Amino acid sequence: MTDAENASTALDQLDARGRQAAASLRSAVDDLMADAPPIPLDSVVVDLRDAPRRRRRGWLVAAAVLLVAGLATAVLLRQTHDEEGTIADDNPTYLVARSVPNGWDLVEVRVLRAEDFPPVMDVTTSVYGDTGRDDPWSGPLLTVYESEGVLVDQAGAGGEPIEVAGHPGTIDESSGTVDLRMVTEDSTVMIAAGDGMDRAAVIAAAEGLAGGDLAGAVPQGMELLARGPGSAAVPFGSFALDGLSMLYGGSSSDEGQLGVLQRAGDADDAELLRASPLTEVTEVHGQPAYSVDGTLQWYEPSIGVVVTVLSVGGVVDDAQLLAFADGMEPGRPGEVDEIVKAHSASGPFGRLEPGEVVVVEGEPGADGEPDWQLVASDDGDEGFGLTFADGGGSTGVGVSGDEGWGSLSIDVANHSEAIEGGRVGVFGAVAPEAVEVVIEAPGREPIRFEVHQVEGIEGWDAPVFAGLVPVDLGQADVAVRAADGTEIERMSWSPDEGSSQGSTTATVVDGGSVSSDEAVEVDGMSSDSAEASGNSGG
Amino acid sequence: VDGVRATRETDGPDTRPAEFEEFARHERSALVAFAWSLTGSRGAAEEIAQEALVAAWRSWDAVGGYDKPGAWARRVVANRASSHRRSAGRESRAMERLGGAAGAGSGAADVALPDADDELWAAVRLLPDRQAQVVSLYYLEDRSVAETAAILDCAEGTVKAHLHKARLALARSLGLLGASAETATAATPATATETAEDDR
Repeated sequence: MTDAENASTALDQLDARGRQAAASLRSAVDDLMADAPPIPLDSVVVDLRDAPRRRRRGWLVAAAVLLVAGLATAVLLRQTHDEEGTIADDNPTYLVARSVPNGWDLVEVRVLRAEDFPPVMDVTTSVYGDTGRDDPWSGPLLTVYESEGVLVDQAGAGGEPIEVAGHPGTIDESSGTVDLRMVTEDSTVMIAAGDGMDRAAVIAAAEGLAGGDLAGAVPQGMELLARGPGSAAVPFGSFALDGLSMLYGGSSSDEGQLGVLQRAGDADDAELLRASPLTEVTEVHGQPAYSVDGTLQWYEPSIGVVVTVLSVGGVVDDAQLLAFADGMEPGRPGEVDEIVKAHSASGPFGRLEPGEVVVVEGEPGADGEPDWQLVASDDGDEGFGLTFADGGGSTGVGVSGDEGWGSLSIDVANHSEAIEGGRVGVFGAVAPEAVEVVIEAPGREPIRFEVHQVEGIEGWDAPVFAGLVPVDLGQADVAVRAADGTEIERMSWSPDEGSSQGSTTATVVDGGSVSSDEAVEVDGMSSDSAEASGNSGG
Repeated sequence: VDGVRATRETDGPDTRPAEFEEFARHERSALVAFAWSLTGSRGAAEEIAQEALVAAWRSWDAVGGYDKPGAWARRVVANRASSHRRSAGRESRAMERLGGAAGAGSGAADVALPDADDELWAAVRLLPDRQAQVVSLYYLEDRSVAETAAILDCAEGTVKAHLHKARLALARSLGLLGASAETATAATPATATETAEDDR
C-alpha cells in the first residue's frame, strides 16, 4: 500500500471515529438536556437581557465550595484594585507575618473592597445544627446560602428537577449530602445543603426558606449555629468583602505560596468554615481555629479580624501552616499601610506578568486613572494574547494562531458594561498595513480607532486597537483601512456576537501561503452544497 | 422572512418570546454539544450556549429574520468558546497562584462518553481554534463547506484548508497516521484528499 493509500485509510478511519464520537456526544448531551430542569426561558432570558453581562456560571451545591472559591480567587486576582494603594486610617489593623516558611517574601498585597465584587459574590451563609449534641457541628447540618441578584442558568444544575413552594429548583443526592437549590422570582438563589439530613427534611426546610420562615421549618432540635458572610464558609472563599489579601512566595509560583486573607468579622464567622464536613478544630493564638484542605481560619479578637491562611500548591504542610499562623502579629502603627504601598499590584488593573505589555489605555478619569487598558502578552505555547481590562474585570483572547496576522479579529470585553455611559469595550488585531479601524452602524456617526504597534513582544507583527462603543450599537460594519485609504477588510459585526474573525485572510496550508481560493479540496465537504447562502449575519 | 418580519412589526414584541422559545428549545442541545466539543466542560458549554441564546434574544429582531438563525447562534458559540479557551488558560494559571481551585466550575457531572470518543474530542480541543471549530461542525453536525463558512463567517477555501489540516492533525494525534504517510499527505494535500474523496 502506498503512503497516499495509507493516508487515505487513516483519514477514513478518523472520519469513522469522528462520526461515532459525534453520535455519542449528541446522544449524551440530549440525555443531559432531557434530565435537566426545563429552562424557564422567558424569565431567564428576560432577566438576563437587561442585566450586566458578567460571567454566569451554573450554581452547583455539590461543588459550591470549589466553584465559589474559584470565582472568588479569580476576582481577587483580576477584579480588585486599590485606587489609592493605601489603607485609610480607620480601617482595621491586620496581622503581619514575622516568619515565613522557605525564606519566602511578601510578593503581593491587595486591598479588597466589597463593591468591587459582582453581586454573585454577595452571599450570606447560615448553618443550622442539633444543639442538643455536645458538638452540634459534628451532627447533621443544614447549610443555607442566600444571594441576591444572582442570575442562574438552571441547566447548570445537577440532580432532578423539583418545585419548592412554586419555585423551580433541583435536588441532588449524588454527593452524599442532600443539595437543594431554587430560584425565586427576584432571582435570589437559595441553597439548602443537608449533611446528615434526609431528603424530606431538606425539602421542608427549603419550603420554609421560600416562605420566609426557615427557622420554623428546620427539624426539631436544630438551631442556628452561625450566620455570616459567605466568605467565611468556604476555604479561602472570600465572597464580596472588605479586607486585605497577602501572598507570600518565592521567585516562582511553582514553588508554592502562602495566601492570607483578612477581613472584619467575629468568632461565628470564623466557625462557618465548619460547614465543610472535613474541617478539623485546632487552635491559633489561643483561639479556636478551623483547618480543612490546607486552609486554616480563625478569629483574631485583638483586632476583630477573621484570618484565613491558605497553603498554595501543597508545599507548606499543616504543621508549617499552623506555625506560620501562630507567628503572625498585629501590624505596628503604619506598618500595614507601608506594606500595602510597597507591594500593591501596580497599575489600576493589576500587576503585569512577565511577557505582558500595556499597549494603549483609556482616557484618565476623575481619579487620574484610565478606565480601561489593553495588554498584549506573549503566552508561550499558547501564542499571543490580548487582554482588555476595565473596572469590571478583564477579557483575554488569543489573537494569532493559524489565522496568522492577516485578518481582523475583534472582541468584546465581557465585563465592561460597568464603564459609565453604557459603553462596551472592543479590541482586536488587524493586518500589519492597517492604520485605522472604523465601526459603522446605521444611524450613528462612524467610530474610529487608531491602531497601535505592540512593542516589546518578539514576533508580534500586527497592530492592535481598542476602545469603547455603545452597548446598544447593534449590527455594524467594521472596516479596516490602510494609510492610503484603501479598505483592507470589512465585515459585519455586533457587540452581541462577542468575537469575530475576518474572512479575507490568506490561509497557510502545510507551511506555504496560498489564497483562500487556492486551498485544498477536502472530502465530504462539497462547496456547492450551500444551504446557508443568503443567510446574512448567519 | 418577510412574513415573519411583517408579523413582528404588526404584533410588536408579543410574538418574539414564542418564536424565540421555539428556536431556543430546538437549538439548545446542538449548541451545548458544539460548545462542549470546543471546551470539554459541561458547565462552560451550557454557559456558552446560554450566552448565545441570550445574544440571539437581544438581537432577535434581526436574528429571527435570518434564514438560519441557528447558524448565527453557532457563530456566537464558536467565538465565545474561543474566548473561553483563552480565558480558561489564564484563569487556571491565576487560580494556581492562590491555590487549590483550579478545577472550580467543573463541578457538574460532565458529559460521559466512551473513552475512544472522549479521546477524539480531547484531540479536537488541542487544535487551533478555527481548526477545532471546523472539524467539530464537520463531524458533529455534518456541515458542508458552505454551511461551515457561513457559520464561521469565513471563505469556503479557508474552511477547506482548516478542515484538511485538522483532520491530518487528528489522525496524527490519534495514532492513525504513520510518519511516511503523513509526509506524503503533507507534501501533496490535494492528492490525499482527492484519494479520500474517491474512497467515499
